[in-house]
Amino acid sequence: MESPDRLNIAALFRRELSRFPRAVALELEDHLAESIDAQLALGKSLSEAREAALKTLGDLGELARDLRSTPSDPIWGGLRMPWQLRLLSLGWVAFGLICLSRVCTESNPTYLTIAGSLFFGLSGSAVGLSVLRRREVLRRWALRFSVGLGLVLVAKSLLVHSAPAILPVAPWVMPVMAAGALLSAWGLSRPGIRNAFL
Amino acid sequence: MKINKDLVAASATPIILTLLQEGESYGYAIIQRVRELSEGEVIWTDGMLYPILHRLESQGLISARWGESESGRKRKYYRLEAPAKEAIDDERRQWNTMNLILARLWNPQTA
Repeated sequence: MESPDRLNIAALFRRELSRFPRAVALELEDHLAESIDAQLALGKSLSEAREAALKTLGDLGELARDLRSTPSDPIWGGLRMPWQLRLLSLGWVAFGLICLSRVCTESNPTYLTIAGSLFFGLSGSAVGLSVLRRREVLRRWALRFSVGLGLVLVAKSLLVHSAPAILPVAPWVMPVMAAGALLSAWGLSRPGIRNAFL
Repeated sequence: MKINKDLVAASATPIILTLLQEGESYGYAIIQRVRELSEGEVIWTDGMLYPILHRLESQGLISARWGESESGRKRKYYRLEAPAKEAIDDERRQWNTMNLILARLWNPQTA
């Protein structure tokens, strides 16, 4: 009999858990692992334990619907809005995208342009993603895309256009960027923040 | 005797809040505690617990933190927050009132 400690619960229930947001899937994985542990202790086979664990969890479609209607996510949950604000947020997203495009089109953008573009672009994306919250896969990919786009734009702006002229007179740029990278790495190491992104 | 579904659903919130008064806990352990307390009379579908926990979290009655199980798996622990005390008192008053009304109806001589 294989111990559930060594079982890959995520792989065992990949299809069933794919409909849930990452944080909920992690919570359900732990629940299913405990449940399988109890079933195996009763002498059931792994496939019997798997079926029993799923059965006690109930209708997963209904659970997914119930969870979607519950604003539980600490980052996105608080951003759920009525339709008027959603329309407004879509306008914000459009404005953010225009701002981001300025960084691409300007040959030598100022720090103000970069900061403003990133602020409006990323915050606009964040608000827009809350609208997409009901489409979990879209939300994840849109978030990855916006973070990736932001990083590419920063690299393009700082390294290609601005850095050669700025670095000699602004030695604080690299330490600030390094601190930002460390802060980002620390943030992504925190489960609550990481789960919102991955 | 099995408790009917509507009554189980209505009592879930006060049961969860009161159980968390015993200390921090997580989904599977809460379900097991309910089974133990009800001696099998109350059948909770395990999945019904999570929307309730998440709703209570969004209402600020409980908070959650990610920890690890003994086997190193990620586990979400819940605990009561200060406003929960008032909510539990309120639930207790409501359930006592309903209990009193039904007791008077069903046992008019003793009530």
